[in-house]
Amino acid sequence: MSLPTTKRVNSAMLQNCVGETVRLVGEFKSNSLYGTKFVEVIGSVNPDRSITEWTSSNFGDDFNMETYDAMVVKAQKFPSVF
Amino acid sequence: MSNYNRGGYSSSQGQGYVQDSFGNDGAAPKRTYNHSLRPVTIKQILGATQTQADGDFKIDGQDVGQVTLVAAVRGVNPSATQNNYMIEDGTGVTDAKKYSSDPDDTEELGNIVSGTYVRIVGAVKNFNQKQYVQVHSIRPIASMNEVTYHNLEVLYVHVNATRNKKGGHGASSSSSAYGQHHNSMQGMSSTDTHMRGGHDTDDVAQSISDFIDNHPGKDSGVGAHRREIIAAFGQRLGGDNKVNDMIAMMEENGHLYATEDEHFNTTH
Repeated sequence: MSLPTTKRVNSAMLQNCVGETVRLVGEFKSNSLYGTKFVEVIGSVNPDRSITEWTSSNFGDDFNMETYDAMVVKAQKFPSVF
Repeated sequence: MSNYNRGGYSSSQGQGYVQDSFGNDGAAPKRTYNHSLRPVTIKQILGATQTQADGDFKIDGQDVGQVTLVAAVRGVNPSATQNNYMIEDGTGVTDAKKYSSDPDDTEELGNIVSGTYVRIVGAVKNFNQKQYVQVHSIRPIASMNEVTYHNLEVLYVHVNATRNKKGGHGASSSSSAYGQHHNSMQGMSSTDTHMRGGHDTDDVAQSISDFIDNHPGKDSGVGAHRREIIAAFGQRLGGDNKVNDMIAMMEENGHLYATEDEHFNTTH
């Protein structure tokens, strides 16, 4: 029984994942509706590169986006692990 | 072989499950309990291989002691005997079971709910053909940067594990290069997570260790004579002095020790 896996993506990768379920961490530029500046959204990617959310998690206010992004990009190269 | 000479995370497992059950097999090399702690993803856990039922698991061809992972809890199922958490980290879903023995468990249950990201340390177990995690410790993570950190650490260890020996194969779980008689050898690489990259000195050190391990002197505990090591590696290292330097370095790092009269043995 294999349950759905959600890839970690950044916005540049959204184009290639239309229809897939992904995890994306984003930063709110204006007022956050979630209570924290950084939020992880898990949902499916729509053709217009928006995400329809299934669930979300608060990622706090002190999240290091740069390192996270580097990690996401690197992780793509290791599908056997991720 | 005493079962209680264990340090690290293993001593409080207390479930009576003995991982060094290989002691019964007369043909196997002497096995010591694996104290290593390895960062992994759930996908790696689900893909871990087992050489024998109830035996140790291997990930990327390396024996696994305990594992650590960061995942989101998606379901909590407490019971009198153990708390069962369903966890996922984007790479897969599995169960994490923790025996509820301590009174501070109620605190744990209060802090960990569906949606909480947690750091788990535990062992890989198998039930009904499927792997799960027997949890030794579970706690909510303080900062989400730990998610980034963990994933990077997973990658780092994975790359080192699959690129460890010269000409390392890809992450194939049927890596016969590691499996067989190099069992006790892995003690060296699985206990230091900084492992070895493709550096020449490390490759040579590994070869010297192999040389001693395969030497008849290994069984008696005496090891190989300095002159034999020089004879075997002199040309490769470019001189007797280089070999002596290498031996000295390996002694310092704790990989070799001097036995009697200019003999050296490996420490694992």
